[in-house]
Amino acid sequence: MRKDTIMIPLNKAGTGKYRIVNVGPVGFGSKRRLTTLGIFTGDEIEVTKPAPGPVIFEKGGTRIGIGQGMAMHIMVEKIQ
Amino acid sequence: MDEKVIILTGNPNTGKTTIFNALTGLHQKTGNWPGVTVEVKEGYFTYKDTRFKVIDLPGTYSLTSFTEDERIARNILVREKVDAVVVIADSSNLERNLYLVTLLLELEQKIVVALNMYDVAEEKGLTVDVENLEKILGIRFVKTVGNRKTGIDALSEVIYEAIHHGEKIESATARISYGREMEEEISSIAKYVMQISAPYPSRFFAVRLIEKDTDFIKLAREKNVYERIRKNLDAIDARFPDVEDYLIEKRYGFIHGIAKECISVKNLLEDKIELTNRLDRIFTHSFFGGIIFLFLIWLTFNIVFSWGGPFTMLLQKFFSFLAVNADKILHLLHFPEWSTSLICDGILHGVGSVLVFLPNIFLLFFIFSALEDSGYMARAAFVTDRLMHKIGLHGKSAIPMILGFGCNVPAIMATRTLETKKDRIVTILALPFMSCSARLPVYLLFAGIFFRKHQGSILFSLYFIGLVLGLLTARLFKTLCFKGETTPIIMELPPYHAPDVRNMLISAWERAYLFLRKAGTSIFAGVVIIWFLSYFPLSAGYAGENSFTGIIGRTIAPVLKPAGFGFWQAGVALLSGLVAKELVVGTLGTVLGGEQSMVAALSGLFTPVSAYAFMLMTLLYIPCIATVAIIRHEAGTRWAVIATLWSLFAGWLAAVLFYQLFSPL
Repeated sequence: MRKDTIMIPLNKAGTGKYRIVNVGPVGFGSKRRLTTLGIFTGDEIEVTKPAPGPVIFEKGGTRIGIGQGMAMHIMVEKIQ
Repeated sequence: MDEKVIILTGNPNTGKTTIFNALTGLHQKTGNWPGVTVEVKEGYFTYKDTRFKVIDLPGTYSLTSFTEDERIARNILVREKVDAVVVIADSSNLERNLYLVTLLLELEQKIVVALNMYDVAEEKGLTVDVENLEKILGIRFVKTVGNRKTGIDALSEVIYEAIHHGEKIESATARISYGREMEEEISSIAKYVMQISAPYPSRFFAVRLIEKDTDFIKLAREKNVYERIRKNLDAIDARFPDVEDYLIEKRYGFIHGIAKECISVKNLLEDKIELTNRLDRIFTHSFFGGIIFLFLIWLTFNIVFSWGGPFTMLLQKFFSFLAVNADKILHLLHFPEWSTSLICDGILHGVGSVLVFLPNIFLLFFIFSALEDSGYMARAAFVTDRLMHKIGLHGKSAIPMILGFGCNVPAIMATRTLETKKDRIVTILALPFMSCSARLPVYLLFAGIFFRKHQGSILFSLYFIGLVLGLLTARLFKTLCFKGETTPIIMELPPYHAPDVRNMLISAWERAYLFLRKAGTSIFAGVVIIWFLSYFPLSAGYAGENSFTGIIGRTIAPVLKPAGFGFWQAGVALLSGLVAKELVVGTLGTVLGGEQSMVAALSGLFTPVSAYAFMLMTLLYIPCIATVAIIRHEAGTRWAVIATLWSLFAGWLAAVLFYQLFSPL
C-alpha cells in the first residue's frame, strides 16, 4: 500500500503534509512529552518550518517546535 | 461572608494570567506555599454573597511527576480544601486542552472550563457546542475572551453556581475507559490502594502507579502496599509494552470522540496561519533568527536607557531636593546631629540613589512581558537551543537565562521545567552571570559618567560578557561533573498576537513593586548599617578613611588594586553589594556624600578603564544573598558554595585582566 512513499527523517522534510511512521531512540521523556502534547505515531502533521534550525509542525491547530537533533529520529512519510 | 477556594489551572499559553487578572484585578499577591518555590499567585474577588480565593497554578499539560511544575500543580490541587477547579482552555486547541481536563476528572473535583480566546477560535471557523459538551462530561463550560474581559461575569456566575448548587460529575453521559482489560487491572489495584490513597481518589492513584509515576511508587512503598501490587504491575507491563503511551493514547481517543461530536470546523483562516508561518520562518531562521534575537535584546536595553533617562533625572533632582531641605528643616528644629545625618546622609542618599532606577526597571519588565505575551519568547528558546546544546545546556535553559536578566531568583526557580537534574544544575550554575536588573543601576551610574556617548553599547557589552561567561561556566561544569547527552527540546509554540497593555502594566508593576519592597526592607537595612559604620567612630569624620567603613574598605582594597580600583570606597561598596547589588550604588552614594557629589568624586577616583573593570566585577562577583539562598534550596549547599566561590574568582579575574590589558602604562 505504501510502496510509492519513502521514509525520511523529519529534519530532511520540506514544508508540507507528512505522516509520522516511527519515533526512534530519542531518550526517555522526549517521546512521552510528544504524546502528552497529543502527537502519536500514525498522526498526520504539517511541517510549516523545515530544518536547518528547529523544525516546526502543526497538528490540529497545535504548533509544536522540536530541536533538529530530535527531528533526526522522527521518521515520516510524505502524504500526496 | 462565605469564603470559597477556587484553583485556576490550564496549559501554558491559554491566557490564564489574563483571566486571573480580569477576575481579581490588583487584589493579588504571590502566595507562600510550604515547599513550593515556583511562583503561585493568590487573588481575591467577591461575587454575590461569596468571597472567592483564587489560586493561580503554573501552566501544565499533565499531572504526572514528570516536571516540577506538574508535581506542584497536582500537590496543591489535592492539598488545599478546593471548592472548584477552573480550567482555562485555549478554544482553538480544545483537544489538547481537554487532556488536562480528563486527568482532573479522575481527581473527582468540581470543574468549570473557560473556553478562552473564543474569538480567535471563531475567526478560525471553529464552533463549540457547549451544551452538548456539558452533557457529555458533566461539567460546566463558559466562553470567554480574557483580553477583552468578555465572559468574565458569566464565568463568575458559573463558578458560583457550580459551587453552591453544582451537579455531580456522575451526570456525565460518557466516561473515559482504558479498555476492558486495563479497566479490570485498574480496579484491582485501586482496591489494594483504597486505604492509603487519600487525598487522591483510589482510581487516580492506581492509574499513576500503572504509569510508573515515581512519586506514587514511593508513596505506595512507604505505605507497604507496593510489594503486594507488584505482580499486577508486572503483568500489566507484560501485556502492554508501552503502557504510558497506551494510557495517554486512550485519553486522547476519548477526547477525540467528544471533539467530533461537539466541535465543528468550517474554514480555516488561511491568511493568519500563513502569517504565523512566515514569522516563524524568520524568527527561527538558522542565521537571521540569532541576529534578530540579539537585536531585540539590544533594542530593549536601549529603550530602557533612553526612555528611562529623563524620569531618572527627575527622581534624582527630587531626592537631592529632599535631602537638602530635610537637612535645613531638621537643623532648624534642633534635631540631634546624628539623627539628621542618619536621615540625610544615610537614608535619603542611600535609598534615594537606588530608587532613581525604578523607571528603568519598570520599563525593562514592560518590554519583557511584551516579548513574552506576543509569543516571541518561545521562539527565542529555539533560536538559542542549538548554541545551548553545543555548550551542554538545554534549549529550555534559555528562558530561565532570559529571566535571569530580570532577577536571578525567579530564574533559578524557573529551571524546574528542565527535566533532568543535571541539566538543571548546569543551568543554575550559569544563571548568576546573567546580569540581573539589580546590577543595572551600577552600569547606569558608571556608564553615565565615563561613557556618556556610548551608554547603550556599554550596557549591551556587559550583558553580553555575562552571557558568554555563563555559557563558559556551563560548558566547564558540564565537562567536569556531568557527562552525557542533554535532553532535546520540544515545545508548543503559541500563535503570535499583539501583547495586551494591561498585562504588560501589571507585570511591570509587579516587578517594580518587588524592587520598592526591597528598597524599603533589605536595601534600607543595608544602608542604615553602612551609615552606622560610616558615622562611627565620631573622631574619623563622616565616612572618612578612618571610620569603620574606611577600615573595612582599606582591608579589602589591596586585593582590588590590580583591577584598578584599590581604594577603600570601592571595597565597601562591593561588600555591601552582597546584600543586594543595588547597594553598590547606594553605598557609593553614602560614602561619597549623595548623588551630586558622588558623580564628581567618582570621576576623580576612576578612569574609564577602571570604571569598566569595576562594572565587570559588579557583574560577575558573588550573586546577592537571596540568589545564593535559592541556589542552596534548589541544588544543595555544595553547589551553592561552588557557585559563590567560582563567581567571586571569575569576577576578580575578569576585572584584573581587563584593567591590566587596557590601562595605559
